[in-house]
Amino acid sequence: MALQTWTLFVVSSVTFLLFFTGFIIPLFSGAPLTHVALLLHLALGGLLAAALVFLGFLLGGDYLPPYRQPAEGDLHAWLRLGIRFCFWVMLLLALPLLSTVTLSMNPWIRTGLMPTLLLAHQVTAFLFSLALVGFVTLFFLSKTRNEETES
Amino acid sequence: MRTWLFDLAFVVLLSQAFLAQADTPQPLLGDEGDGSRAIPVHRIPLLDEGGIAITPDDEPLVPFSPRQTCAKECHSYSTIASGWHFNALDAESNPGRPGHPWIYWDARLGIQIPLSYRAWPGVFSPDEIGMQPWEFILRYGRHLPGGGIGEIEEGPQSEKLLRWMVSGQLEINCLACHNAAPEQDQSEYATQIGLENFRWATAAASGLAFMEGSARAMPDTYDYLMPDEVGDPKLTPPTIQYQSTGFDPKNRVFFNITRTVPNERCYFCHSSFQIDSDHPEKWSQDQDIHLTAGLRCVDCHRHGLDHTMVRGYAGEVQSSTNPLAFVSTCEGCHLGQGNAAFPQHGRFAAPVPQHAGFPPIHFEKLSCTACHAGPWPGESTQQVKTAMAHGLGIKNSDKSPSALPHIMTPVFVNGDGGKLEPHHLVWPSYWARFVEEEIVPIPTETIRAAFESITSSTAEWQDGWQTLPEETLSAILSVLAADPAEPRPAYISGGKIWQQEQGQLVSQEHPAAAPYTWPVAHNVRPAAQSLGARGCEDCHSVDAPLFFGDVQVDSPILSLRDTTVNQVAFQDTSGTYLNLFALTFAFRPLFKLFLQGCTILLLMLAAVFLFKLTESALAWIQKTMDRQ
Repeated sequence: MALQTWTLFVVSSVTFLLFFTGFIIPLFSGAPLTHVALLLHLALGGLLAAALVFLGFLLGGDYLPPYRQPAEGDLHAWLRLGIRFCFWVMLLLALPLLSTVTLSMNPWIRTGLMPTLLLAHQVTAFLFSLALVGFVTLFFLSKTRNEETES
Repeated sequence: MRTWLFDLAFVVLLSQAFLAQADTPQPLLGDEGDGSRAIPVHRIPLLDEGGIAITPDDEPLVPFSPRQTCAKECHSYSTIASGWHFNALDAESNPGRPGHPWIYWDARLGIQIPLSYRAWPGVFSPDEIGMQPWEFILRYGRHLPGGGIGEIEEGPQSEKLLRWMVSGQLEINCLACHNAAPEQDQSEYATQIGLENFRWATAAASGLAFMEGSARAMPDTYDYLMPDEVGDPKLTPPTIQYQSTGFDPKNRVFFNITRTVPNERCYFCHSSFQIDSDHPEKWSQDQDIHLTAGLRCVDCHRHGLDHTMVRGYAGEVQSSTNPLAFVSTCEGCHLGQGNAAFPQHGRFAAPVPQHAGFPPIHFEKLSCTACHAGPWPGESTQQVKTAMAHGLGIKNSDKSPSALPHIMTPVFVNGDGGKLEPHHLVWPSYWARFVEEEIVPIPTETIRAAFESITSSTAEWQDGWQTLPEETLSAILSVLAADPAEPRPAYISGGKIWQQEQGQLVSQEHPAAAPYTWPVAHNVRPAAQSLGARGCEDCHSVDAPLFFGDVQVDSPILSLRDTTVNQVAFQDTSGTYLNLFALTFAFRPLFKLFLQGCTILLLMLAAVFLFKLTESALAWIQKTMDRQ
């Protein structure tokens, strides 16, 4: 459980920093992502990719279907379903999130396509962040509830 | 009463209309075209300065005047004179982005200073160094097309008033550009300027006439219309002879005039030559790819009667009245304007660039020329010689590679709109005084006198300069500081200001010592020879010349010889960041592999999930169907 918590902590904090460098700084500076912010964004992006793979293999086995339909009033079951949903949405969104970056680094991609890739990267990054927020919230709600039940 | 008032008003209005019409210059014969692209044959009489036709039997023979011959009945001179090549003196004309200055230099006095009558930041007006129009014409008239400063009317207080009367004005030399005849000889024009034969220069260069003699040798009282015998038989008054075959039976001559000026005419003033030990001859250096592709200079640099020539830079459209200002830029031809009503790109068969793999930020940070124009940047800047600065193409031009002025290239500078672009650079070296914290150049004659007052037996010549040891520099500054009534003297050179403080020579950086730079637009290299053609590392490596190349510092001061400044010092960015960013490119292939590996692993997970999801969905469907 501690490993899961630590991995989630890394994923969340790295995503927060990526969100900050990728959205907040350009929003306030009015300029595209560049200089130190860009370097930081790239380095953190690599870290997030690794952390996501680790998280995927750590939790993926437990979160695989089949799922049972929660009974009416079983909040705990609903929470578990919500966690699984957010987890897989997050992982599925990570695919375009990473591939838009790797694709844009390839010289055979035409310049005209790059703004589209950037837009796709930004949109998936935003949705990914929402899914992560949902996952983390539900994960810790579920954890708190479990602890309350045990005590 | 009322009728009378109406009549009066009508008469007043009518007279106003007539007066207004009289004020508005009527178009002359050649001012407006009828649409034909054929070139009118110019078989015309030659007119002298008074507008009188010249015949081969005239005595004395006088030079033809372009102002009269070309402009009396056909082309409005005053409209043409407002054009880019002639309007430097006009305070109302827009100076546009900084361009190639005239460079005054004196190797013995340690002077190399950019001059222009245009208000470009970093240049000095010739007046500021005590250079009068007369001297300016004598020095630079060799590569001036006449007009402007050549026709300035100096007041009676001018020391050179009588000399102007002897030599005449330097009218606009239409033939310098528009004469397609191979006999047009601008080198001869330069020779005549040197001989102070201003009014004869156009005719002498045209190939229609031959010149002998020199106005320079004539006394102040000399009148070319009444050439008396000159006392000294060794002195030949300026004498012109026309080719006997030049005149037809009606005393007209044929001018091979063209609208589409041949490149070679432009080249006389706009040649540049790279000083490159590997390619020391001009035949071994390629010219602009556009010319190789068959374009002419005037295909892009166009203008109408007002000669408001398109200079061709991106910001020009904001100030130019030329309607082709935008479409004649790199973007205009190669990309067009995105929101234009009709497609504009592809003019002259310009290919639309693909720029495959280039993140769009490059187009926000770099001008087209950064990657495509000028010499390929090396570890260190090279020197370039230009026609305007080095008098290329004239007789007896200094062919030495170290000839002053020293122009460094390419230097990558944030230019128009903050984009990085290659520039030529000249390090100013001049003597000045602090006048209320302003740096004011000291007239050359004062400096010459100061140099003559000290003996410098140890003077050594290096790379075109008479070197200036710090002891000599101190001695000159002491001489200049001798008069306590004069403001404090200083010497500006190599990007620093040198002055004496409490008997010690000290130097520091100062804005007045900043180098003057101007954009390089040519030669444009083909796409395959552009920066980035070999990959990102052309620019994004820790030793990329674009950022980390050396810019040679040029100065006669001995201690500054062989010093350099990093390219990044001229750019609005941090060298540390560029180094860090360049380092990331060393890991870029690994990073790409790593990201691709992560993507594959996530893809595998996603595949398992989707497989399981499908499996459970099918099971659920099966179960539901079984129940039914």
